[in-house]
Amino acid sequence: MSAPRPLGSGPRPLGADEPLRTDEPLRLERRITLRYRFAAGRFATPFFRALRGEGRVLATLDGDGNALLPPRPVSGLTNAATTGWVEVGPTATLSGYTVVHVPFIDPMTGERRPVPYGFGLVRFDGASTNVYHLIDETDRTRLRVGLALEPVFKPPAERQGNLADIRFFRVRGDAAPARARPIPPPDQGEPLVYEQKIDLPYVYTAGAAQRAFLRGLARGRIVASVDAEGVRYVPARSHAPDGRPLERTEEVAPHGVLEAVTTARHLPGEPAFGLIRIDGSRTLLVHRVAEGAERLGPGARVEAVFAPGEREPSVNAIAHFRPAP
Amino acid sequence: MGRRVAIVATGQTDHVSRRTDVNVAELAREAVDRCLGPAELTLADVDAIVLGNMEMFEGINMPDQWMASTLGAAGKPLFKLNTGGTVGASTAVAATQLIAAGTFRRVLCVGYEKHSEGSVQAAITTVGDPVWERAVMAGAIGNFASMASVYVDQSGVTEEHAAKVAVKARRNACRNPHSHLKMPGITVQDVLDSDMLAYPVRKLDMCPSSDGACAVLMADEDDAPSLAPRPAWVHAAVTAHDQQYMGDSLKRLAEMRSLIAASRSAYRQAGIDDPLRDLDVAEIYEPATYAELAMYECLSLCGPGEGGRMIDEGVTEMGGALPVNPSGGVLSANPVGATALIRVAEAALQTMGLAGDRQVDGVRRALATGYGGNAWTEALVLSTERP
Repeated sequence: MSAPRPLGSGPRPLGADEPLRTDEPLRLERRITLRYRFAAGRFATPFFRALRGEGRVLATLDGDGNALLPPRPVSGLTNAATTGWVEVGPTATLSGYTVVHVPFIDPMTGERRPVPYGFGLVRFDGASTNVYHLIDETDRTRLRVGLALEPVFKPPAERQGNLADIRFFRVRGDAAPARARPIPPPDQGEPLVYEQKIDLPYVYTAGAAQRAFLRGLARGRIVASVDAEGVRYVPARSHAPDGRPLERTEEVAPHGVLEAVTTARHLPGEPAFGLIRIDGSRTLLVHRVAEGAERLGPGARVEAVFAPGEREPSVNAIAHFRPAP
Repeated sequence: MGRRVAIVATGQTDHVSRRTDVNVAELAREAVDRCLGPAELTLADVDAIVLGNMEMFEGINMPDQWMASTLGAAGKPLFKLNTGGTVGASTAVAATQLIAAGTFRRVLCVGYEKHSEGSVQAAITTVGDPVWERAVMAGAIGNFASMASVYVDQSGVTEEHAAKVAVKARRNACRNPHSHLKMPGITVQDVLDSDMLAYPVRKLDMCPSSDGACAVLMADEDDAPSLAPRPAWVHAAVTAHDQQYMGDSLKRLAEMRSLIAASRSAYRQAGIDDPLRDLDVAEIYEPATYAELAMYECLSLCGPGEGGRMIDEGVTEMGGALPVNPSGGVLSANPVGATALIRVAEAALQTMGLAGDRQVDGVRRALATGYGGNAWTEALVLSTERP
């Protein structure tokens, strides 16, 4: 997760006289960007190699004669292992269709897909199942179930071994459909692995106690929740660990006791992290420790060092904890 | 089934497009307080919690850890499920099984979603197979619209039929304090004039994205009568799945294999021969108007191709032979992780006689369903009578 970034309409620096506990929303913008490496497996690997290389479309057969595409180890129609391979298409029939007018962000590219575009369920001739794909037609009155289609491939050099190697399907004049042709099991060759990046934006909303806590940090102050017995909870929160609601918050002194400490030698700069019990708190705060605190043992006293300059309402408003005098 | 199981209390937030006053955990807790509070129960009365949510919508992995204390689950069994849009009803099916098996006596189901915090259309693409499907996905609406076109082609339902479903839902919603879209003056023409999102689906044909949560307390046969004067007894709680790829079943909407299998099994367990006659109310998971019409057929409320006739004749309106979605349904509020549990809660409220202005007279048996991207269906039958 990337560093915190304030929204245009979100967090702002507080004036010194403004209350920490307010109803004004506090929303934090974050992105989650994750990389994956998906193994295509023993059925998709020969399929995409044949699609990319020769423009051939392969499917697996089950015991009832269904030609299943995507090819797969087990048929969902018989719940038994598939028994062989066939070649189908590449001509196809339109099974269902739409023209999409609402733009959406494609998480594969992070970009908005241009609208309108034709889209539908396509059945390769000879196959028993359908795949979703793009249709080269944006006038929906020219589309109908049963329309004969043909794929338009990307040039061989641009193909990547996925369904987008077919750019789209277009209407075909000659309506004689192809049939399924039995073929021997295709060679596996080198396994195909697909690298994919997921990039999704989020906006996290803080609750009332969290808002007071985070706004307090931005002003160099630590806010605790307090229960009916006067027990404190830092970081401030809506409910105690046992589920009781916590209605009240109050400011507490920015120091406490180091309960545990560890150095992350696998991270750049080898930062140290500690579990810190702010004085009077039943709960612990996780944060960085430095300036010699990383060499202290449990029980040592530490104090918060706030980040210099204008601070955002986030836990990074505290730079780290250091040994207390 | 082992021990008998009943729903004894329910709670919901007032679903809206964006809640900025609470975080995700506090939103879920609000539903829990609204469930337990009126019944004068506390979290100490709960033996275990089953939690439902779709993580990619909020970007919080393992939310069960993140919100355990707020839910009062620390030190207790807490199970997190994700079965897509079905998940709320899956929590109720799981709780039924946990109680029926004698594992726990009182199980709290909690479902929530805070759609305003993420990107619904982009995040939902990640439910697609990464190698096969993501490269050519069109968000939930494009995929759904393609299936709807198959149903239109097969059944001959018109956009006017679909629009009538939208009008029914948004008018019913006006009697439900929890619903998100209340449109008392909506007309068929308003729906037909709304923007075309993806043929044949217009803006007012689709469900909204909501922030909201729902909680349902289920109890065993010994505890239920003391916790509620009129418990909603579970006569069936069924789950069924379809094939894995999105294009596998051409008629997924018109002939939803998982909905047909789950409802048939539920009817059989509950002793229902003719659902239109034997059920008094239904709360079904209809993500769009066309889906509701197709589901009438899949649920055997009418014959194939008769979905349009059902809405023309007012069979499923309030006051009709079988009111469907007196709450306003998913078309009027859709916090996905909670949505299917809301169906269960609304069916329970109808059975318990606690549905307020949206109460159907004389409910003895109610149906609730959940829908997870076509692949997954849950079906529950609730009754005033102890099984």
